[in-house]
Amino acid sequence: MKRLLLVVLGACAIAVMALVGVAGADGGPHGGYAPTTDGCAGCHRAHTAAAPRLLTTPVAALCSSCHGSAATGADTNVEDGVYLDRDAVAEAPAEGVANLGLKAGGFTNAVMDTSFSGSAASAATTSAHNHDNITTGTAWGNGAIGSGAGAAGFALGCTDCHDPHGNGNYRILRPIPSDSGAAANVNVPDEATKDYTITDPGGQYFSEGYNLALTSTDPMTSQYQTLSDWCTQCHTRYLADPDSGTTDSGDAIFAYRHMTADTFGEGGDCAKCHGSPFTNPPPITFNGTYWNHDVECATCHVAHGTSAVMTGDGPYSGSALWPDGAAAPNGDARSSLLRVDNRGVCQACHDKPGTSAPAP
Amino acid sequence: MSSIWSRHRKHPTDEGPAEPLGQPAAAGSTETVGRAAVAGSTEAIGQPAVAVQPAVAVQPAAVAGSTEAIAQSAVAVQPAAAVQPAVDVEPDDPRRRRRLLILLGLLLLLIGTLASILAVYLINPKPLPELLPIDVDYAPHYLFSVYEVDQPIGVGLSPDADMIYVTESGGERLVKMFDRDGNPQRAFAAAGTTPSTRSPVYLDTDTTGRVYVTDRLQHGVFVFDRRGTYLDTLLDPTNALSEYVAKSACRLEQETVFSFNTFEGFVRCTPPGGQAQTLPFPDVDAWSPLGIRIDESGRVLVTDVLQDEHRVRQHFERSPDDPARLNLAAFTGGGTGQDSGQLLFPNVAVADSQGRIYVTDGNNGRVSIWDQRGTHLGTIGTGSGEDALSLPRGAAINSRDRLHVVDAVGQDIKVYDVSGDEPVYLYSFGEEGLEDGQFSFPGDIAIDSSGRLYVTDRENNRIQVWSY
Repeated sequence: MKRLLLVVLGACAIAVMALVGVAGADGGPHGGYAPTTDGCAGCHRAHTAAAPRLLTTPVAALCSSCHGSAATGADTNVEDGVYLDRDAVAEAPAEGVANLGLKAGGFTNAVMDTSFSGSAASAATTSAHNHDNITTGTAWGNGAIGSGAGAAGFALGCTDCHDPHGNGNYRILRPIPSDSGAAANVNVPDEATKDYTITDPGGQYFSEGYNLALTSTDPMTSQYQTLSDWCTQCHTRYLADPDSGTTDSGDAIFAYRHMTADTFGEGGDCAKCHGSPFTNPPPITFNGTYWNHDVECATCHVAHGTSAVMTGDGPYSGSALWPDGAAAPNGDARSSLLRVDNRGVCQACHDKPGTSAPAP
Repeated sequence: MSSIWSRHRKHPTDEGPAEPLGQPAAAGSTETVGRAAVAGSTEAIGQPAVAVQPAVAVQPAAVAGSTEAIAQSAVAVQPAAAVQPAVDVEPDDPRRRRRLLILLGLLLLLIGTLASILAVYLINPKPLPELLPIDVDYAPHYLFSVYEVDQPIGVGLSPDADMIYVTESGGERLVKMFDRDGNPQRAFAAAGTTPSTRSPVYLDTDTTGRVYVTDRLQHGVFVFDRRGTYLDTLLDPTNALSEYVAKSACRLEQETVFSFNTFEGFVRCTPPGGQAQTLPFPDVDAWSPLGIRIDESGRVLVTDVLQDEHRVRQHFERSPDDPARLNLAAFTGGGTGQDSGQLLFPNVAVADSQGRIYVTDGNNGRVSIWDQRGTHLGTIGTGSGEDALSLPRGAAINSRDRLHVVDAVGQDIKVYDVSGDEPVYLYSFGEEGLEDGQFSFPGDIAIDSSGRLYVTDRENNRIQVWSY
């Protein structure tokens, strides 16, 4: 028994020592623990815990104590999807812009210009990932080819995706989201410099996402790919390479899919866009502002919640059936975490004014 | 004893039996049982009947069921004469009377004291620990809860404690006002804001009853009158919106209506009888007010969580008529961090009777203490003992210098005696749960002079009222 205790204590000590290195990227209570840290007691009790995982309290509301709308312990207000820091001393480079939207949007409100009007406005979200550990939904596309619409009865909480102890990953994302069914770790490298807000001062979210700047300087190396790999640990069958739009996957529901993996041009398939002989810019019409070699999940979707509305000219966006064939919820609730109203994300790349050459 | 005994002898009904009683007692043999039982000493044997006589008075009880001789003796003294004097002589006993008078006096003194305490309490209601000049340290007890609030965070009281003000972090994010019994009175919000662009957090009232509410999203402090009418916005540590409007083309007059929303990037202003105008965004210093406390002396303490400069600001000599005259100078200067003297999301700062400042240093899990000159003195609540703090949020100090700290993750209120040179942990109250007296992420606390405590219970959507 004593030996077992020593082994456990030793393992804990090693884990703590290891965290000092890997968790240093995330300050506050999320890592950077010293060997004699006083931080554990902030959330845990070794012998008198009131909740699982030796927590003093259930985890559902714990995160809101700092990151909620009152934000009494953080500048990242995830409920309202807004960054609150107002530095007197300018950071170089800045970690974000005060009052600008967080890259992931917000759970209750979001500061976005989903209508491309030219200025962001804080508005109630129309769709968001569940995050209270209680409300259930369907993890669309979860599972192997042919396994139905997805995993139903899926309850999500903050810590299913994020590791509160810090792990060196981008936004302290877990290598494997809880209950995702994934088997292999996906570690999303952290940004060289944290950038919590989108870069567009007007609040237009399209194509704003993970490591955009790095990708732009090296367009043929997909940095987005890793984040798509991470998202599709839950949404398994949404992971699709560039050929998936023309190749039947064999799945009854997810037969043909928009690409979320790899980059245009990987494997020497440059001619698909640039034509043959090669012309640059490519003869197909992409929106010049938002064109990029990469397309990933976060190109079109936010992670937490969006205020995009589905009130377009046609009855299409708000009444599209869900993968399981259900019609509800519909209307604005069918916004599916998209970054632009209706299906503006399609137009943002494919630019179909009716006067340009056909897009692929 | 002798005097009492002598009166027994003089009693007219006592004269006959006196001698026979003494004789058998002195005769020895079985009588010695009775004597020993009463006198309790062998000396009684050789004493005259006078000394033995008392044994007879109680003998029946002492030797009940004993020998026949004793029974006979008992019969001999049976005439009520032996017992009766104990009753009959009492009113004539001056010593007993003196005792009774003393007892009566003490009783009257006690009643008078209690009546005085009651009178003082009724005039100026205070809890027992504050009324009595002795240390009475016990945890308060739960009284009732006030509902009709959505995820409350901050709580404050009007100067006479007849109104409770609460900020909401859920729903419409209003400031709600209740009377002392928890009956809803009014709900209000800053002009020009919407639920998604405001986030009222902590609040307090000044001596005139004005309500100051920090807003995390608006990076300012809104000022209302005691009925919730919007008055002004503190745009930064030294500038108020009213000042900005007064210098603008809009002009500031009695009926001028103005508002500000940082997300809009401009100021709306409507002069009396004029048309609405849009004024440019004021050029203000960066700050990020989080907590606010105003004590009876007029000292205003604001915690500022501007990212690299988490600090406490304070203001003295506030003009009672003009909230725009605040000048919230930096009080602490250690910056943001985990080291001694640094702060990491300080939530509120409160002062004790000696002027020392206690800052709930939220993400450092401690309370930092500073003297009046801004020198860091030490901390409270670190470590892992029963006094350890997890995530301290709101705090309040009562008139006996009992520091009450809300521990949001600890799900309780921890109380420290800070009246001496060193803080002393006293007790905590509350625990995690949904029942009365249990908390789910408490946020803030306010204490009135009657010993009532008001605690926001965020995830239970209520305000709990406790009392000493």
